[in-house]
Amino acid sequence: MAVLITGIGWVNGAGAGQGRERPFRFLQAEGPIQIPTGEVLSFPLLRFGRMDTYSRLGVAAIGLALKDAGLLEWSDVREISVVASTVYGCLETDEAYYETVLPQGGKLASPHLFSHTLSNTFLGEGAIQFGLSGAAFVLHEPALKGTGALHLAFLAVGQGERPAALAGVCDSGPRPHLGLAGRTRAGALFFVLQQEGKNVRPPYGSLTRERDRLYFNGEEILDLFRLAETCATNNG
Amino acid sequence: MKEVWIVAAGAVTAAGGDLETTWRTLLAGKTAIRRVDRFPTQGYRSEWGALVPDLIPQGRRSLVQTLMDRVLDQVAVAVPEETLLITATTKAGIDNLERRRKGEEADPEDILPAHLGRRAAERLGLLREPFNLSAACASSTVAVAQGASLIGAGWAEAVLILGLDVVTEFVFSGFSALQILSPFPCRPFDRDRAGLTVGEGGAYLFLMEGRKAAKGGFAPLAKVIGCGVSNDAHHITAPDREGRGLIRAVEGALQSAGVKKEEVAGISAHGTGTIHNDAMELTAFRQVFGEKGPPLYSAKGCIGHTFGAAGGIEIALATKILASGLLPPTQGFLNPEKGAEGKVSAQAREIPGPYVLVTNSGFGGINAAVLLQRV
Repeated sequence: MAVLITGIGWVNGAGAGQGRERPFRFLQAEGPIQIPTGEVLSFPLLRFGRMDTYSRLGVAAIGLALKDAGLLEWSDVREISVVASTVYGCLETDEAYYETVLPQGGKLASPHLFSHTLSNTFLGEGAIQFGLSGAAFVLHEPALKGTGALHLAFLAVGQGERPAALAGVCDSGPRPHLGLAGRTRAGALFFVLQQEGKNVRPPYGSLTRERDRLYFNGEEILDLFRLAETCATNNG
Repeated sequence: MKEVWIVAAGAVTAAGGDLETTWRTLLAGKTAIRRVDRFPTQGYRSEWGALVPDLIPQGRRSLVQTLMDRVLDQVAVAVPEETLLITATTKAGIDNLERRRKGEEADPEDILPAHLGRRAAERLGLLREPFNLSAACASSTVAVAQGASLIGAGWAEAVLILGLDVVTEFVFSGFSALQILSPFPCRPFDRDRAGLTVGEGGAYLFLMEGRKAAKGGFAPLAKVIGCGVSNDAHHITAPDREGRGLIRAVEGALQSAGVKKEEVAGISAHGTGTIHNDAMELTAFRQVFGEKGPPLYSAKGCIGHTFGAAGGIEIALATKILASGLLPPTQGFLNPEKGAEGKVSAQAREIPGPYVLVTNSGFGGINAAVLLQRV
């Protein structure tokens, strides 16, 4: 079964956008992270301002990818899976939460922050916002390539388990004092994968797998960042 | 699709330093829940937990690394070097974040979940790059489902699942703040239940493609014949009251296995003891299996809620259920919640039939179901 890439959404230091927008500024992420506003996203997100940074990055990029694929509108939940790779996950939120535990023997611990101290919570936020009822989980990788998430999303769509899946990366980065920084840049990037014939918008190209490696239009995929650039170039 | 066998399994829990001891404790209707002495609990809603005895951090290492070493000590088979390792944890070495914030020496690398897999792969001499899977309290169950999919599709011949989580003040305080810690040892599916009891533990499950396993002289403990994973798309911490996500997961597992609902002999439920989780599960199981439905049990009255490790431990225990034909008692269960009458019991029961379903659910709306077959 052919698997197509039909949507791309991203948020990073260069702003936020979709794969089909021009200019494609994704790789110009020089500055600090910019959380997109409702105006930039041009679609409503419930409780967006109450989410932690990690969740806002991920949810916004998922929404932009679905919009790029023409899949933003929904009425009944859809069997769409989401697999996200991350290095730090919600570590920044973990620290913020733990700071509420330290005073007064934990009596002031924040239930709201705690509910965002799981790396997969933002996928639940995304599932609620966009009606996604497929599997939703996070892969922790030592360095952020995102190919692990792409493999598993490709498996779900290619085996006919799901009509569509999102694969991507999301990280907000740790605070510097832990000595763990520098393994990836803050931001989020998601791709929509669909079975051929189920797409509503023209695809960027097709994915194939051979000998444990994934290929986009015949070219080996080394990481999701370069894949985004290749897709955008193909879509000229 | 290729057959997926569980050829080896092990566990470390508060109820036992190995799977056999945990199983016997569970079957005897005993509980490993005790007063927590790892950190002060005065500021919290509960003082109870199921902690692995004598589990202490080694030097700068996180507690979860000590636990992992104990689990890996039990791996009783030669794991081929081409095996894919998937660790499954919610918070990995978050205790090291606590220690550093208190000015103690602690390795920050252990905080990152990917570090677990790297160390385990090194110790086992595995060549493939491992990854950690996080899906809240269904992490291990989803990892088994993914491992089975990879083997079923011919993408891997052997997958080692390693589920681990430890009790920390970080997690304890959070569940207390959410008002879902039980002030007494948890009582799953009981009408007087008042929340969950935290637990810690780890499990390994070694999955192999059937023919490869047989060729290598491995005997199956059980077959993984169906999996279903779904999201509620409802709320990030509360389950869908109608259980729609769990229903989809269970139906997905049955459908992928080609097994009729009437054939399921027993269910290892998530059964946390929270008001809403247990009610949701009873609703979902009634919807799928009808009013009568198969008997079900929860391990959490014995070993506590072990979060990301829960599914791994409960699937390891399910291989014992299949081997013995006995569904363990639900410790703490006294007065049935509506819908649990005749299904949940404080006594062990014989279960006919070769199929046992294991389910787990978690924050973020995740639900996972794995259907096992006796061999």
